[in-house]
Amino acid sequence: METLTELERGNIGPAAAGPVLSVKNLQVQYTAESGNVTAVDGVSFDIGAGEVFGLAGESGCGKSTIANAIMRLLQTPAKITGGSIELAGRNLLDLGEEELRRTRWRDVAMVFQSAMNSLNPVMTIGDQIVDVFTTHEKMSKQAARERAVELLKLVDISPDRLKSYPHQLSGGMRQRAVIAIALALKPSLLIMDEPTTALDVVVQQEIMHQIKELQQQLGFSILFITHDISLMVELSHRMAVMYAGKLVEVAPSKTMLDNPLHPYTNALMGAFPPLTGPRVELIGIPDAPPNMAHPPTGCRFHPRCPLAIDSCRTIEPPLLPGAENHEAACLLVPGYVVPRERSRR
Amino acid sequence: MSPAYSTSSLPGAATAPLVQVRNLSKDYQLGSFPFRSTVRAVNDVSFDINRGEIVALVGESGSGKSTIARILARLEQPTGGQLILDGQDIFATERRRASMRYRSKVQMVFQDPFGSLNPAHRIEHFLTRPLQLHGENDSPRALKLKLRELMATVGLGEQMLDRYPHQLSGGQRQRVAIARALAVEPEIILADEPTSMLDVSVRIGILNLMRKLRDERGVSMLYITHDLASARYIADTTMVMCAGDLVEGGESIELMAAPHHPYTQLLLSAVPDARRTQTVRPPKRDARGRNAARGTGERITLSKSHWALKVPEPAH
Amino acid sequence: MSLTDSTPATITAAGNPTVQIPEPPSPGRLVHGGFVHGILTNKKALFGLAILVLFALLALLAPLLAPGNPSDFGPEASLAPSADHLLGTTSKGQDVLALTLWGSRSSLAVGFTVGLAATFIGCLVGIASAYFGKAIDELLSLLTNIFLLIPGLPLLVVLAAFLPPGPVTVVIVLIITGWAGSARVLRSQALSLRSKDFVASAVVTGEKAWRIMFREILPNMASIVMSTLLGCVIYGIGAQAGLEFLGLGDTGSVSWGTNLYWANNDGALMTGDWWVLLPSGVAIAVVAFALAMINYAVDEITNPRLRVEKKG
Repeated sequence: METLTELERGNIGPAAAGPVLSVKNLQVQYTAESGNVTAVDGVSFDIGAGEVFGLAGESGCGKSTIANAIMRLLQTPAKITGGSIELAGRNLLDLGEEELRRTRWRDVAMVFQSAMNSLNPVMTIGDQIVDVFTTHEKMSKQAARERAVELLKLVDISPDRLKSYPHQLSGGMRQRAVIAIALALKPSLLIMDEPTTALDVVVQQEIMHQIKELQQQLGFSILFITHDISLMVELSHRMAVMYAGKLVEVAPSKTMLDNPLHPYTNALMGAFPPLTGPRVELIGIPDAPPNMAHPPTGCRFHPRCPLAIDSCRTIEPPLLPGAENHEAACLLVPGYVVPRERSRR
Repeated sequence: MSPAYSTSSLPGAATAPLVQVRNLSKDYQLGSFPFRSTVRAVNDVSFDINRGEIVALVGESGSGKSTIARILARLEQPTGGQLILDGQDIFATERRRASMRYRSKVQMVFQDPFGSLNPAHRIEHFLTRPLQLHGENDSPRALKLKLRELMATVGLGEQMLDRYPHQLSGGQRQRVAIARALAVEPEIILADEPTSMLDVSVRIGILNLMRKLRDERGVSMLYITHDLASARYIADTTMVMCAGDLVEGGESIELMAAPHHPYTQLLLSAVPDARRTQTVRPPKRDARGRNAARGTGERITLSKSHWALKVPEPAH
Repeated sequence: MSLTDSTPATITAAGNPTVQIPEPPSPGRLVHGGFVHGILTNKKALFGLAILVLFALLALLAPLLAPGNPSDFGPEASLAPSADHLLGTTSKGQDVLALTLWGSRSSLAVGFTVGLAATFIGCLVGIASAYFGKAIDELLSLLTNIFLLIPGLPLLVVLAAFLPPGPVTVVIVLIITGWAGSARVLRSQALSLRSKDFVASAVVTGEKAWRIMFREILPNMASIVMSTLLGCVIYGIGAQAGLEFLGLGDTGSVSWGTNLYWANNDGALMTGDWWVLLPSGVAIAVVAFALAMINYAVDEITNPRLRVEKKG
């Protein structure tokens, strides 16, 4: 796209329409025999109406934990130990079991990773969709069946597939069926946790396209979680990168791509070999993400960061403003004065 | 061998290829009596791998690429075709079981770093066994030296030898798997999607290691992947598989700059690349190049190292 | 499929979100120190082990605790439990406590022998079946199924009737009828391990078949082999008692089963001499219970999801 829309530039969204989702200082801990592990450590972000918000990070960073926390699906030993999650103004952490059940699927729905494998293998697709309607709304089976047909058409599945069992559909079709089921009650927020990871690249492209069309058509917000940044850039309006339980950078997608401020984001972008241009040797990120039971002091990325300075070992930077609507948790963010200037490593 | 099959443009291509695959086929029987059906997973595939060359075999799941790797690893029996390694016709001379000689020349690295190392053994075990099976009787000191060397080659510290697989990260386990394959000093390593289950930032390290092994030790590789970008990064030659057929092959950069077969073009357009300027609208599902692939098996030569399967003309 | 950081299942297994352990039991963690430590800290296991150790000790020390031949007829018949005879006497004047103590030797010996042998054969058949597949699998599975389908008790009876009486017969008969059940279970487990990449990798390295079966596949089956063993021991003890109760064992020997046989034969129930019947029966039940406890414990240790939450 040549010019960024207002939404893409991040100027509309949270402030203007009132956020659909507002996460503030969320903290999630896992209790283990050896001690508590903080998997999500003070994460805050907002998602506006009709906005696609991408959350990128590698395994162990805590992104799936956030998704499960929002849906209140965490099981022991995981527990939300701090912060708030507000969905259209209501704090989800205050809701009781019954209210939660009503909120789930109606206001917020989730598509899990390889959700296509979580379809009930002994029920037809049609029955499973009808199930959603009859469970959550007072509706006759006939009416539910009609709505099911509409839903399938929405995701480009022919209605005669209503009588098919999951194993009779291809992986891509099943994933589309799962997305249809998630959208059945027209939630205002859809959380997608690695929805295309288990799919082939061609099918992946189709699904991504489908999601984009659905989002533009129905106007729901999306929290899109993935480890593949390049996948997310085209779909998301804004993006956040997560590392070791914290957000390290938040920006509109195009800006993040063109001008990453955090060294981790930069390294992550550089980990994808190009399809054009000369062969250049790429350098990944050395070592591995930290053990969350004993995270590094100061900035959590500093042991692996090529630009780390002495202060990085002691100061844990919060998200600092680097440009318009662009924040990064790094002492080297332009304009930020490091308290004690020392020579680089 | 006819020039149409030779896929290398590297210097030294005049010497005989290390591996020659001719008309390889593999059928699977599905179902039980009386509802039997046959699936042709690999259909009449032919290609060469030269010494010191990395050949990428790219395709989606179900394309047959992993099957080819498993046949070359002698984990599966082919339905038909020839495999010539170092001039020896393998299927003719060792029909039922692979010889130890074969095993010392052809090794494999698997996709799942969590599943390919037996959780009950220490790291040391995985490197010692191949040395014991294929090597001379080493004294304990000589063995220890070799272990240290192997670990250093793949960038791991000696102290990891005492650990168990569950104590290592995915990237480290994959390095151990590569070290294990290297222990017998093979001529070719079959790498079946070695990075697809690893974190993004770790993948490059493994790919760089593979490049290093080719550059410094002259080890050939058959790199199976669904990721065109990584194939372009490390492979000299790239071949594209679609539903059992080998549809295109050639020097990697050249092939991806000018893909000829419709399926290759489809695959290339589907790769998410944020840096690309044009957004490609995926074609309708039915119009995939797949059906077009089953042609006569004839190849068109596009350049010295680039060929593509001839696509039959649509009936008028 | 690529890694993501967590699903609830993997977190429960590991506790540490960054270390991916996709399958809950990791034999690597267990085989060295972890298992022993697990057993020693598990209440169920300790309880079961304590009972077994107690019985084993009593069996070993029987000659000391109740010297003489317990089968010898005695002067005082059918006495209720008293200070002289803690568990009373039988209608033949035999001391019930002595009979029970001496009986444990035979019962435990037969039980564990049958258990070990049946498990061993089951392992052999099951793993070979899974590893070689095709024709060998068909053959061995057929064999297993035959032995499974033949009704156990009638087969026991028939075999016991034709073979010469004695402890060896009992052991043989029980092994023949007991191995098939475990073979089936072990084959399933071995099959699922067979398809793992580490087995394929051992093949590609050039390992021989038997080495792969017993050094690669078997170590990963430790917990199920243990369960099978415990189950077979229970089977051994119980089936021996059953055979002997029917009079098909060696009625001249002293074991819990023969004690019950003679008790029944001498009409202990009719005369109301409960002390003759009870001890041997209770002994069998208690040992079976102890073995079951250990079985539960092994399950818990190897599958962290079953572990009881520790407070704090």
